[in-house]
Amino acid sequence: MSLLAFFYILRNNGIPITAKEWFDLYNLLKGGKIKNLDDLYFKGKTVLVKSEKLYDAYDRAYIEFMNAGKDISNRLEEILKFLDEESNLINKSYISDESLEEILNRFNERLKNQMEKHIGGGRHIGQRGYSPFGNSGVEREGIRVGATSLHNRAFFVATERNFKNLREDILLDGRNIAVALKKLRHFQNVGIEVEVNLEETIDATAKNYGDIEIIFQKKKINNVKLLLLIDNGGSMDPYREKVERLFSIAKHLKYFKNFRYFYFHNCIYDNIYTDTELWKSIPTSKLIKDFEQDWKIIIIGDALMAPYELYNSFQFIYRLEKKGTPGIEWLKILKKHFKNVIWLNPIPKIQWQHQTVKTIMNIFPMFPLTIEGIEEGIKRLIKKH
Amino acid sequence: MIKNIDLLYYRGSSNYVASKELIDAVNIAIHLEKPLIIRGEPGTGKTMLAKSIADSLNLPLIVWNIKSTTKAKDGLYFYDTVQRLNDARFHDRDISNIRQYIKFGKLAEAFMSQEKAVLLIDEIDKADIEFPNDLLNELDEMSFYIPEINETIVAKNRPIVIITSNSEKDLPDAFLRRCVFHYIAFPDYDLMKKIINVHFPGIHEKLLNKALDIFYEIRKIDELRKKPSTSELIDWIRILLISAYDIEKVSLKNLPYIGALIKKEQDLELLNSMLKYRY
Repeated sequence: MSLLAFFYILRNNGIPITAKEWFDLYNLLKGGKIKNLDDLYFKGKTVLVKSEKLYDAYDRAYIEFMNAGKDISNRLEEILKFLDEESNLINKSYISDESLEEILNRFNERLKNQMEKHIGGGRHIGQRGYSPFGNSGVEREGIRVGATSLHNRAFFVATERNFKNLREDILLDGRNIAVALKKLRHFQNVGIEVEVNLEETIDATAKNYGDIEIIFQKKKINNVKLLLLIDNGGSMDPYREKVERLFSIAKHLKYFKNFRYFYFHNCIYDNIYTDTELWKSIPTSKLIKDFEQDWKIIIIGDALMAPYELYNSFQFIYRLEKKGTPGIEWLKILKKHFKNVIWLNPIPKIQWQHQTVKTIMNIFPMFPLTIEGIEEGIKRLIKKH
Repeated sequence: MIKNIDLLYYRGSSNYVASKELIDAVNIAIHLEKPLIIRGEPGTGKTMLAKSIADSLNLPLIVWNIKSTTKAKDGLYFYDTVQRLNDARFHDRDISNIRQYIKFGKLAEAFMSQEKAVLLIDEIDKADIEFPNDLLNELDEMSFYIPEINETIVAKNRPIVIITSNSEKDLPDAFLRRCVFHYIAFPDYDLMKKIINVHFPGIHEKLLNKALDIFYEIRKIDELRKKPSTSELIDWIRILLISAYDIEKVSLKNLPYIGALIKKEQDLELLNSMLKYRY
């Protein structure tokens, strides 16, 4: 069990550390800054974790690392001994005047070897990583109640429906979508004339026989703030790839002043989720409180549900939730708060006959999730009211 | 081998209460010569930290306040072409000396400082989402190039860089990888006591406890648009002290000078109606 195991445990717990962070930890060891396990925990946290949202995951990983295998008292000694060895090793390499790159290369080499070894023997680490979610196994493979799939109206889908590949690092081919989304950039809050236009100033000055005439221009800022609300419900499965593509492009475009996204299931209820697994949520009321009305909202969903999922005050999330405000009310609240909301529907327009689709179309302008549809929708989003 | 920077050890300062973890984080940043990103609720002393470091290590403090319009280049330099044009017109100065039209920004100031400086980049998330990426190279290499005068400014001493963020926007990964990170949790009751004691040495225990009880009770109300933070608490206690208000009479039902704690009209209304309802 080496300190490197900690590296893998951290990664398995969802902390996106790279060799760069790990090398920082080594540098601390080298500098004699980590002398005991407290140091390892606290100082490790400073260099390895870059968001307070991951602090909990770090705690879990640390506990897992400490517990791996034997009881803690033995582990303490073992790890401290290991810390000693590692820091000796690093100190030696330091003295030998190796360049940082060389050390980093060697480290990467070791990392690779270790990685290979771990594929066989160390797999338990990977699975243990999820153990805090132990219950999820039960829930995930849970029962698909009433999943008759008649007209796609699975009203209580308790199966996994994560857009697993909805990762931000996948760039799908989709220049067309990017170009369409870029039109959101056209809506610019130009403000007052504050910048000097140098060329025009020189021109005007020359025409003025050398008397300086300064030409000002408005500052160009893309002021668009875009919020995506994505239906992660079971009936969305067939359209997953399309949604992924749009999401990934919007995320990477970086043309917006701000870009955020949340997930919902079937309809928007009292809570809206920050992850595809629908584990973490914020109250929808907080969303409305925190996001000013000038945010542009794109809701992506099939708008297909059982009527009571829209009108009833029971909220059908795959873990049963308490009574709350009906979905339709939330949609109306969103419409009232935000100036610009559009709904993109992945279902072909010709099939928009379902009752709930029609109802929602009366609340939000709805467009098909196609290039043309996105273009039309964007036009609507940048419309001034 | 002891590096010079190892002689710099931050221990907190008399007017700033820092947790051990925060002190460690600062020293790690100094040791690794990496920027330290500080995140936390408003009023947890993020901005004050840089001042405390500068005070404690006796180094100059350079503050770069970020606004929504701030561009990365603003921190480096500004070439005042209009002034040059003007000078050309009126023959005021020798315009062939371009150097005199280069105005340096805060980052450049920190690079060019004769002694090691503490650079505070305050509220980095207020700027455009691309802003941190535009600073990557400069922070990494602690140098930048000025084409107008064909010169490269290299940091004489790598500054200690403290970056504060309210985490409104996530910072880019590439940027985060070059930094170390610390989240200042909102002070708990005991730490808050210490903080208040620093501001009001010898404050009466009774007043302190009462004020803190009420403060934390109000903070429990999630519906508030803006929860009172440390600075509001300090203001409130100051007013209570100045007005010599009878502390025995202060309760959730009777909150004198509540405007110091609650700044928003809606929050005041909310608080009033909730207190009526609850107590």
